Amino acid sequence: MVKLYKEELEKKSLSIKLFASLRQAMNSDEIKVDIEKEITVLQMKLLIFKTFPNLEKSNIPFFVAVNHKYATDSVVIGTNDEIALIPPVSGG
Amino acid sequence: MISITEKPIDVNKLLNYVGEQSSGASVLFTGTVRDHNKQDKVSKLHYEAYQEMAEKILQEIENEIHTKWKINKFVAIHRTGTLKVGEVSVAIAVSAEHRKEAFEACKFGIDSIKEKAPIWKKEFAESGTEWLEGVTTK
Repeated sequence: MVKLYKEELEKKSLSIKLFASLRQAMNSDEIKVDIEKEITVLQMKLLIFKTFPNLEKSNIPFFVAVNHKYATDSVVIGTNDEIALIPPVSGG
Repeated sequence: MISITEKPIDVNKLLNYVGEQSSGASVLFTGTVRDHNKQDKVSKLHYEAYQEMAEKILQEIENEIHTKWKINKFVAIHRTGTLKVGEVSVAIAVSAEHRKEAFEACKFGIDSIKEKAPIWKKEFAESGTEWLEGVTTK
């Protein structure tokens, strides 16, 4: 019973991967926010800025990737999706 | 064929991979760690990748190249980890019947990687360390 309850709670947490300058700014390779239902990428951005003021203060621009694809603000996401913030890339 | 790897890149292996008897041209591009950035002296670069996504993006770039140019073989490899000055950070080899397609596909390949692949480099220079932002110089 306790285990089930815990899993239920965990399901509502959206994990967001961080890389490079963003990872360094937040001192973590992942941030989590709680959601009650599926939300759009835009709603997620507003939510993480509210939850993590340092993220907005860092002033680092980023794209959002959903399941390894660059995603626009209107894409709908849930806790089963792999979400990442992609700061300006500099490969090569 | 594409790859993101921590291991040193052997450019000869890339040339051997793309070389075949039906190809009249092979083009090899290598990106190497430069010892300076503007006036600043650089000692090393640290590369970080979002591995799974970077592999998918590189594969998409290869697929796109095959639809745009008549080439025989394509290989792109990008390094991660800490690289010293002079080390190869990225290498692309393309073979085709004629050189025009091979050159164009190779240029498109490196330009696309620099623009889209979720890979980042941190520069260790005399003035300090800094995550670099890619400059689009197409």
